[in-house]
This record gives sequence, C-alpha cells and structure tokens, in this order.
Amino acid sequence: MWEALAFRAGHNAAVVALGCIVFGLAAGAVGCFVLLRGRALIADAAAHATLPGIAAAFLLALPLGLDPRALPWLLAGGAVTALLGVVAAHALASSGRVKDDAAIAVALSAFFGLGAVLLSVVQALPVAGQAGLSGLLLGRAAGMTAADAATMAAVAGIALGLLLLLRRPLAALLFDPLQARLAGLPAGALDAALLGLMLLVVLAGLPAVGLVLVVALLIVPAAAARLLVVRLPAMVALSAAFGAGASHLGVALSASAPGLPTGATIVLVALAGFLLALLLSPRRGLIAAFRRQAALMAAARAAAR
Amino acid sequence: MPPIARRALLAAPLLALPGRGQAQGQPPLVLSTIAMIGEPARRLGGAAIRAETLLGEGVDPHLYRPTRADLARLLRADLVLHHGLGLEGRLREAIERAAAAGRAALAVGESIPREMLIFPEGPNSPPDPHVWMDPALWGIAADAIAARIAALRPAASASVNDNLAAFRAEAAALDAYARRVLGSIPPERRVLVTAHDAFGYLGRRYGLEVQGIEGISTESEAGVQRIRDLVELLVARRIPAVFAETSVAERNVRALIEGAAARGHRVVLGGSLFSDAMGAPGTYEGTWIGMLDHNVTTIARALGGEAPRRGFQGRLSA
Ligand SMILES: [Zn+2]
Repeated sequence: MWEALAFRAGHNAAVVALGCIVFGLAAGAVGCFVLLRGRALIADAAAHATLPGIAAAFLLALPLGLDPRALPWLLAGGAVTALLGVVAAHALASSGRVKDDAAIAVALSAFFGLGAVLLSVVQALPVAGQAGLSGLLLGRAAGMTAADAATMAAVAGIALGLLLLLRRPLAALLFDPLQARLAGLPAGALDAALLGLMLLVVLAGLPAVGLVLVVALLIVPAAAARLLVVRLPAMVALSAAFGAGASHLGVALSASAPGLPTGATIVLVALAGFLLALLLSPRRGLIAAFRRQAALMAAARAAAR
Repeated sequence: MPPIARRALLAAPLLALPGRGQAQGQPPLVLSTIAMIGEPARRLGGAAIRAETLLGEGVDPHLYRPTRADLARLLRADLVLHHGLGLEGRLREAIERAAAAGRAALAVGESIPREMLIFPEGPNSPPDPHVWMDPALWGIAADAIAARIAALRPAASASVNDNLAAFRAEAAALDAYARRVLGSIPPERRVLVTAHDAFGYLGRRYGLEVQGIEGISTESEAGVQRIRDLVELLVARRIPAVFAETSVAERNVRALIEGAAARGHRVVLGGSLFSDAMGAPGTYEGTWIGMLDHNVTTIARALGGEAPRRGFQGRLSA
C-alpha cells in the first residue's frame, strides 16, 4: 500500500496511477464549473452518448484499414456522438415542448440505446478485440500501457490548461452573468467552451473508469469541495486535489489488495471522501447541524430557567 | 445493457415452427451455439443433418447477447446443441425459451461426468466451462453429440458411428502429439500466461501451470495487483512469452510485456491462442482439431519446446 502510494509498486502500478491522477486533477477542477453551472445531468448524458460513437469508430476502422482498437480513434468517435447528444438535448429543450431534464433524459437514453444496438452488431463480427470495447463501459484501468496513460494524461492536461486560460470569464459566467454580458463576454460561447472542457474530461476518463462512472469523478469531488469551502478558487483547488487524491488512493488500493477493479475502487474512494465532507462540513455538515441543534436547545433551556 | 437485450427477447414472437426442415424432406437442422460444438457436429452428422453455428469467428460466448434473429434461429432448430456449464451466460434465457417451445436441446459440456471437471473456487462453485481444451473430455462430448444425432436420424446411425470413430482416432493422435511437444518445454518454463483463464483443462492434462490475467469469465476485470503479480512471476521464472487470445482484448497482455520490460526482462507476445472461439470456417484452424493443434504448437514453440511449425498434420497455416 505505502509503496504503491510512493509509486514504487512497479512499472504498471505507476503508469496507471499517473494516468489516473492527471485525470482526477482535471475532472475535479472542471467539475466545479460543471456543478455550479448546473450541468451535471448534461455531463452524464454526454458520457453515455459516447457509446454509439465508440462502437461506430470500431466499425468504421475495419473498412478504412485502421486498427479498430486504437484508443485515440475510439475516443474521437465517442467525442462526435457525445457532442451530437448534447446538441440534441439542447435542441429538444429549447423547442419548449419538453422540460430540460426530460430532454436530457431522452437524449441520454436514445444515444445509449443506439450504442447498445451498435455494440451488438460489433460483438457478432468475425474480428478480434471487441472485448476491448466493453472495457470502455466500466473501464479497464489495470491493463493500461504507458501509451494509454499518455493519451489519457494529454487529453486531461489540455482540459486543465484551457480551464486555466478561461478561469476568469467562466467565473464571471457563474456568478454574474449580467456583468459578464456587459463586459462583452458572450454567454453562449462560454457555455460551449465549458461543454468542450467537460467532454475532454469525460473522454480522458473513459479508459480508466468507463462511461458509467466517469461522471462520478467529475461531480463528486466538486460537490465535496463545495461543502467545505465558499470561494471559487479554493473550491477548484480543493476539488482538483480531491480528484487526484482519490485516483491515487484508489489505484494504490487496487495494486495492494486482490480482486479490486481499479475504476470502481477510485469511485468508491471518492464517494467515501464525499461522505466525510458531508459529516465535517462547517456550514452544511451533519456534525455542524447537530452542534447547532444542541446549542439551540441549551439556549432554550437557559432561557426557560 | 442486459435490460435492453432482455426487452428485445420479450418482444420476439412466441412462434415455434415445428420441425420445418424435416417436414419439407430436408435433413434436420442442428444448431450449435459455439463452433467448438458446431464443427464436430457437422463432421459427425455428415449429410444426415444440416449443421449451423450461432456464434461466429472471434466472438466471445461469455458476453454474447442474443439478438431477435438468434432467438428465431433457435426456435427453428430441430436440435439445439449448447455448451452449458455457465459458458453462454446471456444466451441461456433464449435457449430455455427454445426448449420451452419444444425444441430438443443438449447441454454438451454437461455430458462430461462432474468428477472430471475443474471447480476453481471449490466444489460448490461453478465449474470451469472450457472443457474443449482437453481432447479426452471433448471426446466424451463428441460421444454425446453423436448419440443425439443418431437418435434424430436413426437411418444414418451407422455412418454417424463411423464418423465418430474417425474423429476419436484423430483426437487421440492430437492428444499424443500435445503430450510430446508440450513435454519438450524446459520444466521451469512450463507456465502459460494468457488473457483470461481458459486453459485450465489444457494445463491439467499436459502439466502446464496456467495463469490468466482475467478470471474464468471475461466479465471479471483484473485489478492492478493481478498485473503486478504476473509481472513478478514472468521476471522471477524467466518466462519468455505470454499469449493473447483471439476473442479477448489484448491490452492487458501488452501491459504485462511492458511491465516485464521495465524490470529488464524481455517477454514476447508468443502468438494468439484460440480460447473461446476458433479460426475462420473452412480453414484448418476453423476445426476443433486444428484449433487445438494451433494452440499446442504455438505454446510449445514460444516457450522453448520442440514442435513442427505446421503442427501434427502439417496443416497449420503460418
Ligand atoms: Zn472463456
């Protein structure tokens, strides 16, 4: 366990840990903006909408003579349909015929269902390697090679860099949309940029935690940080550190105990951290609430005396 | 995902067309789930049956979800030969539907006596389904297939019996060859590291230690510790090769090669083995004998044993 945390548990454990830590960092940071802008559901829909793109990329690679298992190619396919899914949800919602959350749910199930159909086409094909696709559903971090980890870290790193560049306008969008518009910042373009960042993080996380769990790492660290601090820079820093720490600890646990699948372990560590934050939060925590209640009752008793 | 597949199944029509093939004077349709059953069945039945196989080349039976068309085919068959022993996890429901609709069905793998099976997690756990890796066990399965085909076409039972005798003689020759070439691997290197645990029966019969990265089913995901342990094993025993499987992702195997290289031990990809699916129909590797010949020859040569490049009948491609 300690040797795994110190990156001394061998090449494979170190590669998996580094890839997941960079991803956790980016997911935690971007997640704050996604959460505060109320885009958590959209993120979930986007993650599920990668499935048809991944399957289609696999199918297209065969006639094009490409390696259908190449990760960047599959992720590019996933990006295309994720974007289409978000656009579809947006179009449906702005038509005014259905509520926003219903529109998102419709887009999510339509795209995920399409992906499931395409996967069942893929599984019957006489080519090797379809099993790699189901790995993207729940993630298959343990078998990550250095090239996989580099792809993942590069995508996450780009997202992190872009977030640093855009942090001021994005913060204005979150807290003072009117002010932002007066300052000439186009809200639509900023929302699109935030969406792009979110997509990058989702794509980076697919090989490790899979499309079902990737949203957890986008939202859970941000939600925990929100419980503990008020100001945005502190929240982003804490959330990023939390995401990276959960990834690191999750990989170390998976490297030290038998039978712990890496992606699911990372998500469980993050959830445990969230529960801890829920208990300890100074403003909204359960312990703080209990203390306030006790203080109130003591005051009431004192007044009655 | 499974709920979607299940809904597709429920939506399928409940029609069972009774023995259509026979009614039209055609030979009865014998539909096998996997090619390891379907190809021997075709060979044993000859012209007395029409043999078809549901799952094609390179398809993973652990994860395969049946389509509506699959269910329709199952409901049209005069005899369904499936493997059982928990192999076709998500096909079982469709096979049960076909059986409930009056289709004859045989779980081929379950014709092998229980005491000959491997129970990797104790006697009350599910058995390892990969019995076709042992020619002696699969010979027993062939007996059961032949008996059912003979019962379906009593007029052809003499020719089915002749085909069975020829099949078992070839399987015995393969068995002797496997014992010889795998026995030529230096004893300390008799370790077979593969993508998933499909080679337990092969290992037991020929004295190889078998280590799969993933468990008995490809549904289980390996943790980082499993990868670490296997890299440790490769380095400590100086094992020269690991093996991919045609129906399982290669990524984990590549991670092992990389991990060993980082420790200064060169491991090569010894080749792709046929584990849960065999080669293209119509080729030698697309027969059960050819599939095992390929596996045994590839393993022996990669781990430093002596084996002819083209296998025991000189028929392997490559
Ligand atoms: Zn298997």
